[in-house]
Parts: sequence; C-alpha cells; structure tokens
Amino acid sequence: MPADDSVSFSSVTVTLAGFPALLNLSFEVEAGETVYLRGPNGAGKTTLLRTLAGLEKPTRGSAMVLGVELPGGERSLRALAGMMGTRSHLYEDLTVAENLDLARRLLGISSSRIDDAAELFGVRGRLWKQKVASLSAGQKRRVALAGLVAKNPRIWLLDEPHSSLDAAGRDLLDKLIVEATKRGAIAFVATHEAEAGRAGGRVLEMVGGTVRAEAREASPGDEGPASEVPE
Amino acid sequence: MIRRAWAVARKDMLIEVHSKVALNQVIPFALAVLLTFGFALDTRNQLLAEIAPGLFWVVVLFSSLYLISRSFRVERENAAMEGLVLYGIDPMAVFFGKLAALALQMFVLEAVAAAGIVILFNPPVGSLGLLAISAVAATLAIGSIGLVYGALSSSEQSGESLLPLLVIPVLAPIVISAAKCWSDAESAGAGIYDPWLKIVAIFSAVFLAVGAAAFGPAMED
Repeated sequence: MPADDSVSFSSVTVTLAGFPALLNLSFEVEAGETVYLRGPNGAGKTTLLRTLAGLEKPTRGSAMVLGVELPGGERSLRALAGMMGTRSHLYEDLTVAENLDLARRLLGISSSRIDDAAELFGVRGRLWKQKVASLSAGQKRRVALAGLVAKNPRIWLLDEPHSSLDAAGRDLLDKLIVEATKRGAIAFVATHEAEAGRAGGRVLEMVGGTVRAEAREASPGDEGPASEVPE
Repeated sequence: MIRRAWAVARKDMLIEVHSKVALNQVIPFALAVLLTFGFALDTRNQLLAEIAPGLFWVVVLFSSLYLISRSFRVERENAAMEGLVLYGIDPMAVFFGKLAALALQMFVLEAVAAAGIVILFNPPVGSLGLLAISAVAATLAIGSIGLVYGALSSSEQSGESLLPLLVIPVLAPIVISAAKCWSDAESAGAGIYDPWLKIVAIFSAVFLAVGAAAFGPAMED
C-alpha cells in the first residue's frame, strides 16, 4: 500500500484524442525524491505531468498520488499539486500584483507569503504594477514561479522550467526544488536538457509514452558516479 | 465557496476596468444597432415604440455574446482557465464568480441600451418594477447558459464563431419571454403579476440550475 506522501503508477494508460500518450506506465516515487523526465518530443513527459496534476485522467490502470486515487480524485489532487507548464496561467490584462493577489485569494493564504515569493523572484519592485502583457517571457516565468512557490505544493510539476529563465533564475529554481524535496515534497521536472539531474535525483528516460530506462544521478555533494539502470 | 467566487468576480471586473472592452466596444455596438434601426425605420414611426421591447432584448442578446466571448478569450490566453482549475477550487465558485461579473456588465449595458430606446423611440412605460425584475431574471438566464456554452466552445479553435450558433437557439425562449414582459410593461395597468414574468422567472431558475451543474464538466473538459 503506497504511503500518502508517495506516487505510485500501475500500468497507467492515458489516451488523448484516441492516441495513447502514456502507455502501461508503472513506477513508484518516494517522498523527497526529484524525478527528471527526459525524452524526445511526444515521449509523454507533459502528459505525465498533467496526469500527476489531475488535469488528465488515466483511461486504463490506476495511480495513487499523495494518497489520492486516480482516476476519480483529480480535483483533490489539483489542490496539492503545483504545476508550471509551458504556458504561464497568468492574466495578460492584470498587473503582476493583481495576478498574485488572485492566487492569494483563491488559495486563502496570507499576503506575506505572496510578498515573500514575489521578492524571491524579483518581481516585487518595478514590475509589481506592470500589466503581465508588457512583461518578457522570462519575467512572466518568474511571476508564475512566485505563484507556485506561494502555493507551497506537495508535488512540483515543472515542464521545461528553465526555458526563458536567466542563469540566476535557473539556479534559484534548482535551489528551491532541492529545498522543497528536503521538506518531503516530490518534484517531477520534464526537460530536454542533457544536464537534467544536475541537482541530483532520478532520471526517467521516456519514449513512446513509457519509461525506457532509469538512471540515478548523484547530487553535487554526493560521491561516486551515477549508475545507469536500464529497464 | 463565496470567498473564491468573489475572487473570480473581482478578477473579471478588474480585467474589464483595465481593458474597457465593454465600455469601448460592446456598449457602442449596442447603441449603433439601436441608432441604425432608428434611422432605418424612422424615429417618428409608431412601429418603433411597438417593436422596442423585442429590439432591446435582441440587442442585449447579441451584445452579451460579445461579452461572453471576451470573458473566455482572457481565460484562453496563457491557459489561464487551466490555472484556475489547478487551484483545485469548486467549479461552482468559478461559475458564480464569472456570472456575477458578467451580469454586472450586462446590467450596465441594459441601462445604457434602455436609455437609448427611451430617447430614440419614446415608448410608454407602465411598470418600472416589471421591467426591472424581468431584466434581472433574463440577465441571469442569458449569463448562465452563455457561460456554459462559452466554456464548452472556448476549447475549440473555432469556438468564438460557434458560440452564437450554439447559444441563440437555446436562449430564444428567454429572449421572447422577456420581450413579451417588456411589451406588457408598456401598458398602464401592468404590474409584477404579469404571466410572462412567471415564465421568465421559471426559465431563469432552470437555466441557473443547469448552468451551475453543467459549468464544471464544461470548464474541466
């Protein structure tokens, strides 16, 4: 029986418009793990993240995510998950402050949590009263990340999170992922980047909607080489 | 749920405050249609006073479709609606929040259009109460059904052009009933016990219930 803070997929298939985007996918992830999803376009990385966020339903098989059973518990899962996809989920006509204030009101969290997250990503200053429509892609990414950090999710689902971010933003995000997993959160990071796993963690190589191989990358402080575990 | 519905309503109203789409585009559109009818049919013509209720509700319906389309266009940009879904909130909170903001914009639109009708066509007004109550009930009905179809069609590529085709046949009964109500309100003895008001009220209650129940699946689709 999987624990309430783990993820367990058992022969999960997710079909999108008749196409099996995930196919008989099985894996288990414990609390505090970071899992990097690597693979070519169409490998199923984004669909897996969306399924973990409760945005897609398994059409076959079953999954238990943080004690929530899928299919069926999608709505409960959304409250626990923090997803950042390739799109920012921000309202273009609202300012940065208004977008984050909406997050505060919908999450029922304090203003200080929003302020701290906005400060962390450097969007509290001159950007604060700017409409999102006037921001660059990287700035929008920072605002979206501030909202995600303020949500303090139990499972982080990040799709190409480094895209549009500068070096400082990438380092900050990596640091936050490490800190979140140390607190017991689980992180899934989909990426094309070869250096996936540079912060340490598991790497799942995905092809055709399933996991082809698995590797464990050493975190920067660990000793010894990474081990390759072909499936 | 009320706190979150208010957050959604506030967000939609802030978007209107910043973009001024209703103010700069929808209300002028409604007035332009009324003016066109006025000039085309001659403002001195008694016919205009007679058809004013029907004309008013047709103008409100078409203008509302623009507001509904706009309400979902902002949700499509950056997949913002998906962002709302990811907060894990009850879709009913989103429905009632969006309905409140839409209804408020429609009330402003209706007030301006009604003033335009009075100035251009000078119809008699027998019962302001009947006008107001039927307008509130019809607005909630149009907004409820419009939001469900707006959510359904927003995921389609041709959704915006599809919306009128889907919504107008469904809303035709409420528009006809509301127009009949307003026709009755022109007579001196009219009051809130008008039989057409009962029909408008029933449609409004049914559409509101159907809208609240159907919006969740439509939004999460």
